[in-house]
Amino acid sequence: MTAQDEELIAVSGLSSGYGAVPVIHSVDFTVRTGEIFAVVGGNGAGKTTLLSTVSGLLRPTSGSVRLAGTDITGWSPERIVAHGLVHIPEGRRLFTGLTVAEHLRLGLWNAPNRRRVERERTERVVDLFPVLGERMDAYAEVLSGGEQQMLAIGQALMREPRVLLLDEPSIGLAPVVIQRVFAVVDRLRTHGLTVILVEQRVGQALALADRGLVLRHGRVEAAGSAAELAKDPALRVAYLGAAAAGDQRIKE
Amino acid sequence: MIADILVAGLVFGSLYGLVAVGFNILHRPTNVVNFAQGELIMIGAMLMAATPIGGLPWGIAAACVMAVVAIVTLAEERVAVTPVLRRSSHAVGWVITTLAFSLLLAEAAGRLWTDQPSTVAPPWPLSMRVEEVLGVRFSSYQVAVVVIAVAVVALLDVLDRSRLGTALRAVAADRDGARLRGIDPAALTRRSFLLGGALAGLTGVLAAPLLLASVTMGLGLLIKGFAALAVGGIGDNRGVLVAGWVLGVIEAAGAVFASPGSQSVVLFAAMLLILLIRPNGLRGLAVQRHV
Repeated sequence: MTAQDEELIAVSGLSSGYGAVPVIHSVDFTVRTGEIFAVVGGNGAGKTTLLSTVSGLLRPTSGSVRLAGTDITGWSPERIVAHGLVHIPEGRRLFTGLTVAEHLRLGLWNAPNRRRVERERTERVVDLFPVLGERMDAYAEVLSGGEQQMLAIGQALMREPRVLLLDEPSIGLAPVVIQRVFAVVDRLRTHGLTVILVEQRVGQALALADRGLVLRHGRVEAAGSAAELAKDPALRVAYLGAAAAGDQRIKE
Repeated sequence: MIADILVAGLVFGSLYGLVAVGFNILHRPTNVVNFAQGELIMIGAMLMAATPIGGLPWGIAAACVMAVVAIVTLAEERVAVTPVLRRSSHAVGWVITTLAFSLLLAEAAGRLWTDQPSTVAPPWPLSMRVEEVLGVRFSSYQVAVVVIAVAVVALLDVLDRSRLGTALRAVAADRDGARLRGIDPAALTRRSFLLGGALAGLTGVLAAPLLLASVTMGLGLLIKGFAALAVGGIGDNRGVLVAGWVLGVIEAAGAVFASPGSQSVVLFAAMLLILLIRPNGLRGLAVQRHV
């Protein structure tokens, strides 16, 4: 296996922002197949901007994104989704007025094999999240936060993507629900899914991840194995701060 | 006399409802209200009244008109809607650009065709001949127009629940969110304009025998369709059809009880009154029903 095969995502020199306002500067990282890769950092560090640029919502001002060896820089989000990279944005962004069943069906929008696989994939998602099976005809906006997150993940899994970009899946959820969501992410890895996870809950994210990077003011501050990042005392004090300390306390 | 008012109200109201349904179809993926809708319908009616298309068997003629108006509407999307939305999806430049397109259509029609209104016969076996059944007077064509309007709304209801309709609702709810699910809003916008254009063509075909087909008929339909949209609630096809009927009946009653010629004044006064009492139109009722 060559390095190219192993690196499912290769981001190099990526700079991006909103309009004329640059947010991330020359970010480099690679993610290997089957990894959970954590992107951590404080508020306004550029984590969401980074994900949105990888998934095509924002056009980079420079740099490139490669997915499984294909240069996807500047592609439209819908084309990138069709290529196997699905981004679940912060706050889930489910559709008001659409039911759980309709969300799952939309997960296969424009998928070439959708008629053949729809039933089987739906069953698989319901196996993973039984609560969705009970609420198939409920509108997304009446679900609890945890159910919404499960629906967002379930919808993404309908397509059996190669890479999942998860932006703050824990936001607004009760601790016990967060545990469940993280357990599901952990389980997905054993199915060969590659995940890029953006989290404010640094301790929990690094405990789950294989590798990761710390973003600060739009630049990569540190990168490496999750265990190294979690142990790095300078990082903990300077950048991970109270969040990491807090997570640690909860564990103990 | 009451029965006459109801018949006239339902028939013309169906046309107003169809205009508003056309607004809805184009609005869903774009948040744009198409001010050229009235002139597109005028083009449809004039193609029936003043071109060789009108001489074809009715079904074929209607299909041709719908195709031509659909293509004109797609052209509108290309030049007057998408370029504006590309700059900013929140800007309101489309108000001016769709209005400009509307004026272009009116100007072109004025040069192509005389401003003499012309009559169009309804398709066989329907006729405008008034029958009397149990004291109610109506023609077979009037019945057909109301039935077709109901059928159009029922069909769009089915479409709404299809995969394509679901994707359209997703785009309307959250455009960027939809793109992250692989849905291309631009492609859906093109399809919606084709569909909305075809409906405008059909509305013109249906209107031609009822109203006199003329190059100046667009503005009145636009404004009354807009009234039905405001009262019925944007995005709610059933609501706007019912609102069209309500306004049609009020207009017909105005023609009888107030002086003839003042029916438009009565109609718009009624619209303002309804919106004063229910700022969201009849729609508030519908929303409560859904939740």
